[in-house]
Amino acid sequence: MDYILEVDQLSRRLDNFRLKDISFKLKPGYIMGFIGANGSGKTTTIKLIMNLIRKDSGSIKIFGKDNIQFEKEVKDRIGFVYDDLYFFENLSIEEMKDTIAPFYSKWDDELFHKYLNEFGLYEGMIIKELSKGMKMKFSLSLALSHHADFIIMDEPTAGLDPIVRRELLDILYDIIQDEKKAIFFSTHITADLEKIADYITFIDRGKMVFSKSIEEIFDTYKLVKGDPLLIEQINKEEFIGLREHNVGFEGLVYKDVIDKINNKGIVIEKPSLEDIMYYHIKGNKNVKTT
Amino acid sequence: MLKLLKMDVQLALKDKNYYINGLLLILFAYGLAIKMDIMHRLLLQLPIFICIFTSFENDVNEVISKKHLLIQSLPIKRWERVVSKYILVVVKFVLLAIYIALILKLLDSFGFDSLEYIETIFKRESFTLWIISLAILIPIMFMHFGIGRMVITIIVTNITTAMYQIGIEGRGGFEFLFQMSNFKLLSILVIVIGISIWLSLFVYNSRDLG
Repeated sequence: MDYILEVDQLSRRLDNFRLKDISFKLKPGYIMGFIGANGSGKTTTIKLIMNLIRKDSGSIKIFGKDNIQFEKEVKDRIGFVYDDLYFFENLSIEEMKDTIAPFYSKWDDELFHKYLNEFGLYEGMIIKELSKGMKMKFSLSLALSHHADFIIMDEPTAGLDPIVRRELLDILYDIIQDEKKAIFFSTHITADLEKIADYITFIDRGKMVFSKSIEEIFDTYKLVKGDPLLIEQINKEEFIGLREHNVGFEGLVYKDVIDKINNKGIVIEKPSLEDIMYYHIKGNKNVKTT
Repeated sequence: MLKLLKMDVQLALKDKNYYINGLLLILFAYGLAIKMDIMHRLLLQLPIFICIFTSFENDVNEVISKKHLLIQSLPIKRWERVVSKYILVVVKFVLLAIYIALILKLLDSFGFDSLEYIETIFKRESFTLWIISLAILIPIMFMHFGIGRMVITIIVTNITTAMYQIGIEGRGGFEFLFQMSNFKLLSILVIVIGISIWLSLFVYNSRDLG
């Protein structure tokens, strides 16, 4: 098995939205971040991977097997966290665990209780009395307690405070030390991904922007800043995204554009993932701000 | 699939509202039956109506709260969910029928004659009514997620109960079914359930859950 996840030419049309020709691959031993603006198709893609909604065309293979044909077998090896929480609210944590655990062939009660301790949760807590953050922690505990080989998470860090977010990233980092496993997660908090992700897949309005290693991304893009007069040195068409204001400009360009610039006075920086996402989505429509 | 069924039954048994609603409805029906002698014959069918309706009631809640998403993210196949739902509704109906019969029996000790009600719940015609309701309602349950389904459940249950009532009185409705031999009736019900399962599988396999 070369890849844990292979998504090829995946398409799906919904009422007011179309996911078109999404393709990416994830090898064992790596973490892939899945980014895009609200409504870009991240959750739709994850639901397609989990066979919660039907695809129009394309293929999805998990552990080298078709995700629909081998659904049961494949899901037994997946730890899944939803963006929203759909528990039986009247049950306690222990009762909910007892409901879920029998479905997994490798459920580990000891590991589950270890995560509960780490997250400050108790077996007797009633789910409807938990805060959103606590529910998310519980959801993570369930997803991580059956020795899953592939963890899929839709916005797992949403609603978590920075301490717990950091703890979660540490746990994910520990999981990935076993090089047979992989993690795929979507998030808006791109700073989390810069800390931990090996690959980033970026989609915008249902279409692929890129799926690359984080090194390759930072090598491909540069952030340029400077005095308003200096912008003349760069053809504005060559900006992926540009923002001009009274005291200067800032924009995202491909690395090869930098070589063409007489860069005296122009500041060239490594962009953050947020910069890359922002300028890609905004496009090279020049936005002037005062 | 047994795991799925076990989970569903455990959840149903843990749901206190399931019993409380059943109890309240039967007491209400019984109270009406005593107060309004003219409605007696119609109210005789009410315990069956309650059994059928409450067998589905929890599943409507499951869809509204989107718990089916949690269930479908587990290592199960879609057909397992469909078949387990049929078995679950049967289990829930039997449990409710016994529960309501016990309540009615308890009312006996307070001087109410409830034997007729208990007999009605367990007779062949009631079983037929229930199978027909189940065969219609489960595919709808898989087809139409949301609150609208509860309305459809009430309408379908009302229509089938009325057909039953008319049939029992020998004025049409399900009368033709009630006049058949046991073997012929059973064969027809097996075919009806078979078509219903096929429809449910088709609907659930081809639809989006999220």
